[in-house]
Amino acid sequence: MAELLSFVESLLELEGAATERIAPDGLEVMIPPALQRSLKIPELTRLGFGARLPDAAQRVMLESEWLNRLERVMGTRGRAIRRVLDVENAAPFHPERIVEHTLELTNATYRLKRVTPAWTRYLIMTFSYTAISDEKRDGILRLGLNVNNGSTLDGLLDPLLYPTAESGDEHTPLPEGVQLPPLWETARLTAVLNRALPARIRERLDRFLGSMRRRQERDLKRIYNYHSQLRQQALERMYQLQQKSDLSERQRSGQRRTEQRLQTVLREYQAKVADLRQKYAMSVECVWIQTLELIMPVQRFEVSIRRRKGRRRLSLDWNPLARKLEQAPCEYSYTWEKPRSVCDDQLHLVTPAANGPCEKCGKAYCRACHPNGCPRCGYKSG
Amino acid sequence: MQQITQPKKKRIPKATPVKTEQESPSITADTAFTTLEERFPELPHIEAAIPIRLHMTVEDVLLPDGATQPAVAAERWFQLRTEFARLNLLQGFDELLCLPQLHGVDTYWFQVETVRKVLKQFRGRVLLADEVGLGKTVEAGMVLKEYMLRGMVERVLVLTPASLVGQWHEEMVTKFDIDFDTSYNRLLRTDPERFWAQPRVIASIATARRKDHFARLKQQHYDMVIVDEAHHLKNRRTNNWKLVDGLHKRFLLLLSATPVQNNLVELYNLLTLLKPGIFKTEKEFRSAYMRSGKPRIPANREQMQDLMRGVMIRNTRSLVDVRLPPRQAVTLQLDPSSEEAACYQKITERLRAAHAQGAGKQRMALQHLLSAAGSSPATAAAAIERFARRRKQQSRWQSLQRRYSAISCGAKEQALLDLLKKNPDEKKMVFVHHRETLARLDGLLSARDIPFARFDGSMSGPEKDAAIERFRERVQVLLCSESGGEGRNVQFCNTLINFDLPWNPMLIEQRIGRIHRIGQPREVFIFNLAVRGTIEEQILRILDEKINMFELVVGEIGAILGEMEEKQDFANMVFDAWIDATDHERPETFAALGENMIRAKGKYEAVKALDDELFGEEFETT
Repeated sequence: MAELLSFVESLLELEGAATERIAPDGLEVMIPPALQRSLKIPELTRLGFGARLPDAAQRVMLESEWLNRLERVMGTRGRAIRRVLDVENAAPFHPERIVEHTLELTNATYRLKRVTPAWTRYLIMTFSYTAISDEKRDGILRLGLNVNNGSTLDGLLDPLLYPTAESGDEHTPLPEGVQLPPLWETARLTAVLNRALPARIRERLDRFLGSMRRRQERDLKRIYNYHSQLRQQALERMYQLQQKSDLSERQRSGQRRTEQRLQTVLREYQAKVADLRQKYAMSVECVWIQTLELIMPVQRFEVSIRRRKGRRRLSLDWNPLARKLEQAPCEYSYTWEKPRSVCDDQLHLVTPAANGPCEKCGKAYCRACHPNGCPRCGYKSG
Repeated sequence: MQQITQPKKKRIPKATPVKTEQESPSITADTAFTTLEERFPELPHIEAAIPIRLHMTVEDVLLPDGATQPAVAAERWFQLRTEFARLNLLQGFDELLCLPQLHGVDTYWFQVETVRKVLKQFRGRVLLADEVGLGKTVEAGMVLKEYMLRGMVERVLVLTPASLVGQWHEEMVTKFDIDFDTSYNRLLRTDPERFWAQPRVIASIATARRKDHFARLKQQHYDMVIVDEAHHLKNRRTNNWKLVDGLHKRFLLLLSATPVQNNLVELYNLLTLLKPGIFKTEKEFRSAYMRSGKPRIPANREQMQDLMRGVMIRNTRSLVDVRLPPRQAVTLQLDPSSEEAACYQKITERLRAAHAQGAGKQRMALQHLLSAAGSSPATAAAAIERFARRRKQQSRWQSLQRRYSAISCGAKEQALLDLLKKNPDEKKMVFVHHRETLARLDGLLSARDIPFARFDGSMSGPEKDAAIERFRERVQVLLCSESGGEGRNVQFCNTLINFDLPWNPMLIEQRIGRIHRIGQPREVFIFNLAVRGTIEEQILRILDEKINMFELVVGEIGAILGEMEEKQDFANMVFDAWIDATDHERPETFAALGENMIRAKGKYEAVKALDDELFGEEFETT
């Protein structure tokens, strides 16, 4: 397996081992003592990665204890890194038109005040998620945040990541005199992630969930039909007994048993549905893998938003690599979906749903102002 | 989470107007039916949403501090971690994680395919109906291990016949490294609530179905339930069936080589557990797939098989192409010396007296004494000494113990030496059940300068490897306890000597299985040593002469024992037959036991033929 071979080769070299590729699909390695202990292999070892092994080689596979050993070698390294990208930052043409195409407000007006060059920090975090039901799905999810204003970088990530990956080992220092927005406190970051991740994970699992639902519906239908048929048969038996004029003691007891049977069928049906719920119940685990702090120049668009008598300033960054203006953040859900609605009290930018009526009492309220639930009835939707 | 909606009302029967004596003339059957429908309305459609629980560990998110490493190295580590995360995603069910984690298990391609199929196509609900001896337990263990390694299973309940609880426990621990608690644990009696709340339990189905335990089990939620010998669930009116049906479970593995024993309804009942409604109601199943008066022959075979393919796997020997060389068994009936015979007679009398005095609590100890006496005089002396000391009856047993100690060489010891002299170039494994006998033979062979290697359960892994290596390369004899050769390839040897005999035929089968297995190129020879007038002679007469055990396929003896009407262990049966009968009655008692075994074998063969006929090769993994 080429990816695994290349990974092991890089890892061992970084840890001071001498490596040499051998055929077929193998590595001969000479490794220092600490690594010998972590990997549980002798100083001079041959490792095989393909279907055929080189002579006297140990097999290294994804499906083995080897992944745990490699993870132990990695420890906590590679968890977080800062990159500076000092790219050309020419101002875009027609900034008004750019704002017009990007910013959609349902209940407020806005005006672009000015565009100025600036520097910002992005936090691009990678998570793995694993959904377990009677099947398993896992994947990797990246979430980017602009520390300047909390905008999420949906649709901007790829252009930002590819050039940075290509830049390789080059290290660019931060130019002097650059003003950066301050890093967030852990509590703030955690609160934003707790709001931003669930919807994104659900979106990733949408097809998986869809297939589970279809299977569950089939099972429900089968179980319903089965128990309906049982009920039908019991009813027919009851009916036949009812038609008889003079029932013997045995027939009367048969009638009682059939009545009980009908009640049992309902109970069994409910139990089987409960079983199906358990069978398909899904637990999803999301684990953080690493964080890239990307520092780069941007064009900062200062926008003035007006709602009734209230006004607020919003700054949105135009990224010179993606050549795109970022979305205004939903200050409640941090969703990628447009448009935004502006709340009356503190002029929060949120989705229309997050500024909509309470599902229980119908009062409209801003979820960013009242994150703990409806100010009238206290109801909080899931 | 559950929403209940009422469906549209539907008419049920095609009723004709009838008059009854009690009813007024205007009341029709239609009206009567309507009344019934009102009393018992249609089932509500229950919609079950899929509950989703999300667990995030975002509090651990780190931000770069910029000072820990040089920027270039940090960059490379960062990229490596990205690659590592991607590599972790490449694990699918195509490659099994469990394979490198198994100990001492020879896995075969059909087992690996079966496990893949259970995971990918059957989604963990299946009837594993491989023919006897193809390793259903190993397949179930692999499925369980795979799910556990992937974090999909934590809580497991294994239900087996009582006689298999220990074997399951041992296999799960030694082969799959999965620890279970078993229904042998005292906790079951002292605090059953806590016992059943444990995450991994192996229980006898007879225990689990007891009313009080059943109620507790219904409160538990299991990720996986495994039922061995699942043909015991053939009748849906039994508590066995109701227990498994009532358990909350996600994955369900039913294991049986002979799922259909008498008629097709049994299959219906088993498959209904896996997928309720797959064959609709029993009445409809009967009308669609059964012929009147021929309960074993399906009416609509192809359609039935189509449905069954979604819930059943059955590998056969012809698919697996297991062609083992023949094996020959010879039982050497040995005449004891007069002193040896007299001692055995004496110990039998003592044990019978103790047993008659209601020493039921000492049953195990009495069995052990008799078994030791059948093993070797030295072992008998040691066992008597222990027995008497523990019960402070030294004076009562002293003379018998001394007499046994004084026997310098038992009949079997001499026979063994003679056997080892024959065909000196052939490797021979000598199996011994009792530890003292092993030590005694060790001394005997050493004294006669017969080179040998020794393999017993007390040795470490490397010591065992070294013993096998020595046996392979340098010596012709391996002296071993029951664990002899376990997990090692010893197919270079084709001769096995049962110096003494465990009373459990499954253990005898295990011994044979060490050399008579895939990879054995030559004919296998088994020599059983038995002293005339002992219980072992009678056991061998039943196993060898009555049911030809030594010609059976590995696994079949368990199936035959399962068909016996008596539900106790074979070891208990033979002990009772020996101890409850006088010398005069004994031949008759053992003859009756032999007849029972023959009947059980006949029953097993009939059931096997029925299942072969029903399923053929239609449910194989490929």
